[in-house]
Amino acid sequence: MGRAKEIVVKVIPAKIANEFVKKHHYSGKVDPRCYVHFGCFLDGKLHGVMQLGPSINKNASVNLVKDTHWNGYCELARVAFDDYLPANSESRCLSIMMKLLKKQAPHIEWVVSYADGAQCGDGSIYRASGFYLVDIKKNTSMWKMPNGDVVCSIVFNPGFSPNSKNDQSKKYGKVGEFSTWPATRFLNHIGASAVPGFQLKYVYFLNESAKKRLTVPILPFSKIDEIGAGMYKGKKITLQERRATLSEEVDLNATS
Amino acid sequence: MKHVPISQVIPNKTNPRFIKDDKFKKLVQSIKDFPQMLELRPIVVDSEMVVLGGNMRLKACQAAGLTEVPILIADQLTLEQQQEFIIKDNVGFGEWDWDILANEWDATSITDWGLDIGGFSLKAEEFGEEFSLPDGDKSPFQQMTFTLADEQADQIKNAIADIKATDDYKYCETFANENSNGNALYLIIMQWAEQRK
Repeated sequence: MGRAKEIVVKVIPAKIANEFVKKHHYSGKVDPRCYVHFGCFLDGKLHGVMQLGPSINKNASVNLVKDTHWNGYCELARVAFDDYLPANSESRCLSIMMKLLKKQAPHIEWVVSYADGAQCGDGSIYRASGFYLVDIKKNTSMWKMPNGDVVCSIVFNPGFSPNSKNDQSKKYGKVGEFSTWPATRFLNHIGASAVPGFQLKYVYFLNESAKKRLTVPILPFSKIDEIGAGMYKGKKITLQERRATLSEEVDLNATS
Repeated sequence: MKHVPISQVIPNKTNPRFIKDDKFKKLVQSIKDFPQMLELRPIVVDSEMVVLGGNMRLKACQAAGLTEVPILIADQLTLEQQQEFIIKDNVGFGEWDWDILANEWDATSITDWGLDIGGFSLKAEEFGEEFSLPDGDKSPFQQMTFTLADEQADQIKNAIADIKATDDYKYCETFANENSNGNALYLIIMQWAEQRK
């Protein structure tokens, strides 16, 4: 564990958390839904942020675990760390955050999170932190715009109401007759394309008994390689290849 | 290597490196705290005493009040080699192993020595661990949005107004909904459904 055990996790204001996320999250974008923000401190500085919020499509996602109350779960929407934190820090921070969640919001039974295997990674942090893999699907939500920007398709859904300062759909011309078009139709029309890759869904159970009510099967992590969904730090790489690299590094360290 | 009066060493005006204020202050302090560093890494000059390596250090030595500095004269280099030296002397080829830095080194010291470890300067003690999240179940009411042509909207408004004037509306099942338009629309739909039977 090294110095990771010295990390302190505290609740911080949205403004500070969002500033950090803009700088250190691979997307560079904040999620305005987030309602609680955790800061990870080491050596007198903030080196990481984790943000929780409600799921985008609660009507669908609430059914992931049978008999879940409307506010009985939440989504881990952003996890961002800078380079300074030592190895194992991410799982240490998530573990502390889950303990705080159990204490301060005992009605939360489970936490869902998505790994962006099209642009970032397949969720190695989640796997190391006790999350279960419950779905792998081809990416249909992140789209590359003609100008190179990557935008989530949900912002182009008719009726989607983001804060007015950051209305992406207007930016790309989804106004007038286009405003009622379904997102995919509009995105295809303007020449955008879905980013190739996969989205992986993970669940963490704060209430272990809720695991029995999971309505989908838990997938073995080996499924990631089987499907070809492996990605680490934005590069396609299988779990097996990563394990081999890690073993090589360990061997080198042992002999140096 | 030899020691010369600092006034004899000429800063290199074409040196493409610069240093920001806070880092410069750290360099000055570093020279004051650890002057032996200069002996181990003297300023490199050409035969004209113009700096090839150590322009920032020379500036910091002046600010630190040093009267003499150790120098190494590289008079064997061609002009081309001198330029190559200026760039290569400042290029960092390696990467920091942040895991080793965080685990094996003292953060305060390495920051004082001029290495930026990133992060936002905030103290954990300034923040707490308490928060609250929404509890309870979903509201039994919901809003629905439709897009209508003006003509369609007028028809619907008229239908709602008409049905509100009937006795059926007075006894309509509201499910505790207090929105009169919602109740009227529900009644219209239920009557339509009844007709289809």
